[in-house]
Amino acid sequence: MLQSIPVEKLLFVGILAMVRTNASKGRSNIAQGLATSIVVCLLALGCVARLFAVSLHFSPLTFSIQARPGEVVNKTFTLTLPQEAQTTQFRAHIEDWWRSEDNRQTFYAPPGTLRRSCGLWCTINPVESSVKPGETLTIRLSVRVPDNVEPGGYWAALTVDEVPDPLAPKPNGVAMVFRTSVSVGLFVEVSPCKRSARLVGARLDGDKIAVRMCNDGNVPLRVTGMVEFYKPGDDKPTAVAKIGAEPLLPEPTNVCEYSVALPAPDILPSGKYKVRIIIDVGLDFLMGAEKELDITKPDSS
Amino acid sequence: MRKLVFLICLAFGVVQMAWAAQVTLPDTSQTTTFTANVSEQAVVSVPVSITFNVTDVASSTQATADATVSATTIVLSDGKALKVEIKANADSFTAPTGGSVTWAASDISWDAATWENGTGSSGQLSSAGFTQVAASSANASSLSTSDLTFTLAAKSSVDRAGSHTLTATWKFSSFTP
Repeated sequence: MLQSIPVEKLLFVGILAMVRTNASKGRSNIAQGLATSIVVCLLALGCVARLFAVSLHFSPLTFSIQARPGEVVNKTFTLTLPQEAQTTQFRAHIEDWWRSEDNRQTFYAPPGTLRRSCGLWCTINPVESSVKPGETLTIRLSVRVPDNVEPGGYWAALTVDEVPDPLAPKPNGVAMVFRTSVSVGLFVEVSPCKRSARLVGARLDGDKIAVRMCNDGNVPLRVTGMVEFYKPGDDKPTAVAKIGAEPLLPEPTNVCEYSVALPAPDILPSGKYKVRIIIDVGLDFLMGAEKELDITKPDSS
Repeated sequence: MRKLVFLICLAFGVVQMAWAAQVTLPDTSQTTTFTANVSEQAVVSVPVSITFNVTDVASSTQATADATVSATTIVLSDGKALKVEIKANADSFTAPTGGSVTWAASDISWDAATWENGTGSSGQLSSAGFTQVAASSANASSLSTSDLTFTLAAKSSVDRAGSHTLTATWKFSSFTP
């Protein structure tokens, strides 16, 4: 109800309530009018908070577990609502996840969808809970590694979704209503793991450079790297672009392309460059490739 | 047996060394290490809703206001980044009573926007998977934008005025082993 009333109207009604009460009922009712207007204004402010943002604090963002067959590992996840938030219902569940080959989309599916899912090893408690402003929701995660599991890497995600309030007002007109969801990566390694990857390509993709990697092992890898741009004949790079830490999964597709924005034209003007790519996937060595690329970009002016 | 006794004595000696030592006063050689275990964490904030004032169904319409999305107090392991993604909860909007045509989720698109401490990606809404909206720079402690513009495509076959609503979910994650 409140959400559908414009904030300005509520504030106006609040001020009007104060003025009318003071004028018609005399000074004895000033306090009552003031109280009415404060309540209405507070409701309006609550409406502002609800209109503009849903905010939450959560920890951690990843569980990385080294485990043996038969071992049980317990972890906790916490989610806190700020004091100014509204009471919100949250639902937790375990999901499988993977990335698209272009690393631009993430897909989720029920636990056990992927061959290397550890989703079915997990139990969580509580599954659904109401969190009041300033309160912290603690979710206990228990991972029971099967006795007969094959060595390698397994993964899933603990997802905590904001549950829609069925009594919440619907916006008027054409609108998108948003929900918040956080997913915590869960990685379980059962030794011995086979870590192996290849750098299989690099290309220009608009205003980005895309580096294609392949995971030949049986464990998710952490990919970091950098792309250096050299003018012909130069020993020092004209510009450097960094590839932040990204996952490289062994399945359902073991290939992933990581894009990084080309440096701005004033740093990397159009021209021919020797591009040197250096990738670290946590092995004993770095991987590298060199390629000549003709970079054409619009002028910064 | 002697070996066992020796090992127990040795272990006992090591334990003793860890707990106490005889020193000559004044002495400043004793130290205690304080360790704070910091968990990965973030505070995230998204708008509750955005509205499109569609006055001409034959033309595309921008949202009435740019969206503000932020993540603060981002504390991650070295080199990691926070990803912001979005997914439609249904294939299409829900049309008002009597309406037979409404917009598909894929009729919503967004621009790359200007992100502080991160890179935005333009995209098109999908109900199949979460599509990336932005990623923080590695080791960034915050990520925010206040000019994320959503656009609703033209659809001249829409036949009813009123509330057309679609729910979408913002996802925050940092999936790196």
